Amino acid sequence: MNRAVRTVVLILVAAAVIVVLFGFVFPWFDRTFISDPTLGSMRAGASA
Amino acid sequence: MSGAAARAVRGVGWLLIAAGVLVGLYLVYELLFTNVATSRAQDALADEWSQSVGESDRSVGESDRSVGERDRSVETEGSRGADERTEDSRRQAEPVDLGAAVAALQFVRPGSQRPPVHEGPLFIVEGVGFAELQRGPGHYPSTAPPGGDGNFAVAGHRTTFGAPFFNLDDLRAGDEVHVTDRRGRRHTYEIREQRVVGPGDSWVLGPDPLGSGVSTLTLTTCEPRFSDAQRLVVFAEMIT
Repeated sequence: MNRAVRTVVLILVAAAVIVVLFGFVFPWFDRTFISDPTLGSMRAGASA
Repeated sequence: MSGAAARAVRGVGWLLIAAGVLVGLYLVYELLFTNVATSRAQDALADEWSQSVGESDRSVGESDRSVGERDRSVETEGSRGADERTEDSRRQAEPVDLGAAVAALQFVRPGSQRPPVHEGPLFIVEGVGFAELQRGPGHYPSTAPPGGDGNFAVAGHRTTFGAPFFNLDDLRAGDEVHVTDRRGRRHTYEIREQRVVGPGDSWVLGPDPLGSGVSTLTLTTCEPRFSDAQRLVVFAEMIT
């Protein structure tokens, strides 16, 4: 593969990975394991 | 070292580098990205608030308003007719869309220029789901409306997402919380006490958690910081 093409593909893959991480993986991890300032089942009830 | 062993060591090295990058990105997300997102959301809520509440909201940002002025506003409130108060109650009870601003909240320490917890107003959104709390502190929909009879309960992040309640433990008895509702009326609550409770202790969201018979404001957040193992709860009672 041409070096320039490979660089572009690498950049696109890195950008996609960051979008997935920041858009889906990290928010899911955060709300599941890290921070929930609510009490009881209020959050689930409010979101439903 | 044989070729296979060298390849294995190199593979482990790359895995460790990848894990380090992942952790680094997560820290950027938690400590930077979420704060920027919430800051933008609060700016948008401030714009919405100024349009929807507009001229009737004269109290947000006026934390140093004199007691005399406050008394006059209370007199004005008291002199209105019963019909208008009924209309107020009806409007106050009207449902607000999840994520929309339901109140503005400001912390005040009487006799001090520096407010505790947070400088400037915090816009409270309706709902305490993950999406709502990304925008700012959220009102538990099952509890009383701001300024209403019963318990007006609000949850906010202790860390990340702007960390609006990072210093909630700074509040002490006598501090005030000024809550401005969607009609522009300000309600003043005075801090009574703070407690650390378990995540399942939803009694604090009951209509009268202090058993005093007075309208209450309840603020909840994570305890300790960077963990939601417990909840820090601050109770305040309405004084005007």
